[in-house]
Amino acid sequence: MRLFLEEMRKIRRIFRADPKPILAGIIAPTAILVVFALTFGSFKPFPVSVVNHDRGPLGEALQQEILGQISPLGAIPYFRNAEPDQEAAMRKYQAGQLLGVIVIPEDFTDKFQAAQGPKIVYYFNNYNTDLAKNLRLYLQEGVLSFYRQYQPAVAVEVKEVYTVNRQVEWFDIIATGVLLLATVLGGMFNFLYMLFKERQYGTLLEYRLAPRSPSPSFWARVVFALLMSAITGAVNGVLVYLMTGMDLWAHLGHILPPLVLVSLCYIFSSAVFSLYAGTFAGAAVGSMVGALLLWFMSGGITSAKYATGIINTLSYQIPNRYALSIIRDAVFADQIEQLATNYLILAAFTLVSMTVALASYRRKMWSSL
Amino acid sequence: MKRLGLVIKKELLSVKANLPFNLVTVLSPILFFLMFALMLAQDISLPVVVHPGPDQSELSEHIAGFSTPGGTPYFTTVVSPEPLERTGYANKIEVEEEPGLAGGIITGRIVQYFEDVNSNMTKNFRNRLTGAVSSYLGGYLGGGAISVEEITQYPRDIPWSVSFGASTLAMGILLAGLLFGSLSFTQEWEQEVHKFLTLSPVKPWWVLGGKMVAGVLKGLLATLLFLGVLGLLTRAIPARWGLLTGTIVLAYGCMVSLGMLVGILSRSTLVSFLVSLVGTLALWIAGGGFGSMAVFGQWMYRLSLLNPATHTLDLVRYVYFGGSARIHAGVTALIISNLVVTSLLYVAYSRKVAGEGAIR
Repeated sequence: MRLFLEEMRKIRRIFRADPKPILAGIIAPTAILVVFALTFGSFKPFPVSVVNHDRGPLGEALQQEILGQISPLGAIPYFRNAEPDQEAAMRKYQAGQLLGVIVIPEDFTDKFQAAQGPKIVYYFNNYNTDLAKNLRLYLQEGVLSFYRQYQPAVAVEVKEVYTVNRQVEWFDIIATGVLLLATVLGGMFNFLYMLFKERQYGTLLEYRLAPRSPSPSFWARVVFALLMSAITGAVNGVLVYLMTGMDLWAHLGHILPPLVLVSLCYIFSSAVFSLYAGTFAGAAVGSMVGALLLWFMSGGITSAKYATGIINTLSYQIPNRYALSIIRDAVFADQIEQLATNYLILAAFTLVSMTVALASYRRKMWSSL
Repeated sequence: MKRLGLVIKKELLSVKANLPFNLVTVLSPILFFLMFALMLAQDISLPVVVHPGPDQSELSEHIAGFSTPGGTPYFTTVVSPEPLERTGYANKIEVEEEPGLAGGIITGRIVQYFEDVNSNMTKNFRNRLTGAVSSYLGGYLGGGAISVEEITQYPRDIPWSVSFGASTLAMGILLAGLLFGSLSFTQEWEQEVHKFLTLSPVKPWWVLGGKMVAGVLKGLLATLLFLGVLGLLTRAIPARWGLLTGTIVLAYGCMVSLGMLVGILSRSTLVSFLVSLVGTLALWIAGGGFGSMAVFGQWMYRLSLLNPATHTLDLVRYVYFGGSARIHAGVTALIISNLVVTSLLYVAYSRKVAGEGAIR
């Protein structure tokens, strides 16, 4: 215990002299949170132009139906009529300022009423299949709504049944993922940086001369890194609250245990990484990029249950998947599914990584020359 | 000129001193692309369970076959042998009453179950069924159906993974440029050899020029590797090699200089690494790497024109997919970005590294 406490004091002194590693756990996830808040946090209607040349009244009705459909995502219209004039609209469309231009021809009402195949023209940007899909289907939301209003022959009913008690914004789901990332990065970088600082000071050699096992030193580093995880996670939790209004503290009992287990997994992994990596720069870039890749693959920005093929298989090998499942169920759903199984798998991940890390630590720091 | 050659040689040789860093910098964009390519391999298809199956329901058959003009299905359907109300599947569609014509009216009843709290998934699921129902009704309505004549910007929809690959190519240039540039200076402090730069009588342009050329060369190698992986996996081959090379060199010139500026100001590998990572993400997203900036309104769109990443992305997409791009405006913007950043770099170097300010 005395050795453990002495190590803690030493690490604290090193940290106070150079507290930069905490930045890694705060800055990177904060940037990711802000970036995702900007891209997925406030969905905006697609800027298009719906130009109506129709002589009759139905062109305007169709225009209103196209522009009036509301998305469940953000409860905003799918489209915004950014330019009513066709010539100006086409110029803006070519310049990339509009995503599409919908032209309703002058004979639309005549042809619709005479059932002679009314046609509209749709110019749109299809630089990727996802955008093209959205632009096509958003238009169909308006067309189907128009049929229901103005085509008396249509009486098909589509009933929507929600088996979940509420709907949440996509960004809220991402934010819980970023909370995990912040917690993980804070601990990882701390372990990495502290060890390299000591390598720089040349004090690691002393472990080789010590008569006692370096286990107390290992646990002191782990506990200190876990403390850093808690700090970076807490800072991120406050940011999440400010940006989304989600009170994660209310679910602390369910959030904390999986976060601790997953943080420990990554701290142990970074211990192995830092013992074998030659330079800090390489270890830092490698661990940051590696953590980000694993985070994306394991459902960082959307539930891993939508993953298919090899990504789905890989996601089962990453502890984040199980931790995020518990956290998201606790925050967003009524009950936590497969709680015991998820905890069991997380504990197994932690145990294996701990065994490997401890063995590596003893080998590299103490028993081998 | 000999001095320039020596600086380049020293910079290239120093790769060996920090091999993991250089390796990860080169491999990161490739790994990100591979991951996203795997994630997007299914493209826009969304898994859904239907009942009854296509053998008993024409609408179910239509839902299963409902696709983009390019043939990508909107749904990947799985048939449930039993009614869906009490089953534990995720998103599901029950055709309770098959749509059909009765007394001149098309009637029918469909139930769509939403099993996800994520409103984005709800939106996607709803949109797809709406599109399927609308097109199915079109068959009944005949001349009363509204047809849409599509005039798209590209001859065919660019597959998501290919489009993302081109976008990641630009992200790789931003990341590698910033990291190579910043490390070329932070390593001077970490190896405590910056004093040689301070005391050296060599003109700043030779040092900065040498570091920049070495950074661009390393970047070109990284990008060449990425182009190979992208080509192998997606068979996407750039159509205009001259323009692509020019764009990559100009973009690297700007990013390596910006990285050197960050390295001089921070003097720390960790700090400059974090700044580079955050900077890459910010420039890439704000340049339209993740989606069109037009969505964010006129003000953001105009602001994005000041971002060198915007022009890099535009030119890379043009090189791969054609369409409309303002080539001259893009190249001019990249040249101006280079001039602005290298001027700032010169001032920072003169004051913080080589000048009297560095001694004070």
